[in-house]
Amino acid sequence: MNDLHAGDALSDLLDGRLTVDAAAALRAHVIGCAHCSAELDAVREARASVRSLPAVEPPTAYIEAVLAITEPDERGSGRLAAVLPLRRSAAMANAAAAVVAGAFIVLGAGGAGAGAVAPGVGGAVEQHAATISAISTGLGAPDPLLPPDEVSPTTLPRRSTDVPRPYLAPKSLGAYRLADAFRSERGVYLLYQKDQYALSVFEQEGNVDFAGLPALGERLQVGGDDAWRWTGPRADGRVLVLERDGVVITLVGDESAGAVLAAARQLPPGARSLPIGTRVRRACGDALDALSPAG
Amino acid sequence: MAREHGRFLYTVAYRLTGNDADAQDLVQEVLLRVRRGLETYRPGSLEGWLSRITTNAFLDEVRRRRRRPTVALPDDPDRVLAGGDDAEAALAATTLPDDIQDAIRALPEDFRVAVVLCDVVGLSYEEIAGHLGIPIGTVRSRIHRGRAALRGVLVP
Repeated sequence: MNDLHAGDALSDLLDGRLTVDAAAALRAHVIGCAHCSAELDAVREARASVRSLPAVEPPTAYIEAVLAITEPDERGSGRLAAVLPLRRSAAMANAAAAVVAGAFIVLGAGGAGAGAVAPGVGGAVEQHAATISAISTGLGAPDPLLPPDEVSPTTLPRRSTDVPRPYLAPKSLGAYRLADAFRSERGVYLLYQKDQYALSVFEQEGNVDFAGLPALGERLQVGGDDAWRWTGPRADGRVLVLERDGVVITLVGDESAGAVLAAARQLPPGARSLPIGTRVRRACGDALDALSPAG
Repeated sequence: MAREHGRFLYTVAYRLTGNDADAQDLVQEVLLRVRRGLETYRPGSLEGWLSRITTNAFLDEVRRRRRRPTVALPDDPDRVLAGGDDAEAALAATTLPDDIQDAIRALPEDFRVAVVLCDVVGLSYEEIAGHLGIPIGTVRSRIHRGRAALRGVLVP
C-alpha cells in the first residue's frame, strides 16, 4: 500500500472488516480512482474464484493405503487405529468400534457395575476428540450400535440389546441429535451432533465420587441432582458430570459451557421426581425384563 | 457430516500443497499429529483445531524441503494486475478449477497459506494471525497481495 492508493484496505472492504463510515469513504475513493477500482475488481475476482473452488475428494487408492497402515495387525503398525477406525468390513468396523469404545477411555477407577466412580474426565475429553477426529477424516467411522434414526437405547431395549438398561440418554438433548452409540467396557458412549458441534455422553452405572474429580471444578445442581463442572483450562466448563438414578453421566461438548449445561438439563428426569405409580411400573418392568428368557 | 468433514481436511491439504501426492502426505502427517495431540485437545472448534494442525504441518514441510523455489512478488502492484475489464470478463467465463488451483500453487508459500486459510478454510484475519504467529497487518498484506497475484497469474 502506498500513500495514494488503498492497497490492503481493499481486501478489508471485501472481507467486511471496515466500519460503515470507513467502507463508505473507501468506496467513494475507489469511484474516483481508476487504479484502486481496477485493483478492487482484480482482488474481488480472485477472492471469488478461490471461494468457488469445489471440495476435493480423496483418491480411493489413498484410502486403501491409509487402511493398510491403520489396521491393528500383526505388523504392529496400527498406531492410528484408535484415531481412525476405518470401515472396511463388518468385522473390521466392529473391531474399530471396539477400539474407539475401549482403547482410550478409562471412565472410572472402579470396576464395572455400581460403586463409587470418579469419572476420568481427561480420558473422556480424549475419547471425544478421538471419535470426532475419526469422523472428521471422512474416511470412515465406527459402525454405530444403533442406526441414527433408531430410537434411544432406553426406550426399546429389546431392539437394541447391545445397549442395556438403565442408561438414560434419549434420542435428542435439545437441538442435539443422537448420531452414534458405542458400547464400552463400563457402559455406553453416545455421540450427539448439532450442526458443526458434537456432544459426547458417557454413561456408567455407579455413584459419583466427587472427591476424586479434579480440583479445578465447581459443584452445581442439574435437575435436582448433584453435578460437577470442570472449570480447568482444558475444559472451560464444557465437561460436566452428574449422577442420576445410579448412572454416572459425563458430558463433553464442543459448543460452550452453557450449551453443555443446557444439554444436561434435557436429560430425562430421575426416578425420584417421577410419580409413585410410574416408579412402581418401571421397577416392575425392570424385574420382568431381568426374569424373561430374552433378557 | 462425516463425508463433508473429510472433504474439508483433504481439500485444505490439497489447496495448500497443490497436488494429490503431497496432499496425501500432509493428511497422513495431520492424522499422526492429531493422534499425538489428543492429550492437549481442548473442547472447541474441531475444524479450527484441524486446520491449525494442517497448516503447521504444511509449513513445517515447506521449511524442511523447500522443493519449489520461492518467487518473490513484485513490489509494484501494477505488475500483478495486468488485464482490463475485457480480460476479467474472459477470465470469469473460462477459468476452471484446475487453472485456479495452478494459480494458487504458483503463489509463494506465505501468500498461499494466507489466501487458503482465508478463502478456503474461512478463518478470520485474527484467527490466521493466531495460527501463524504473525501480526494481523502481515496477514492483511499477504491476503491482499496473494489475491492480487492470483489475478495476475490467471490473466497472464
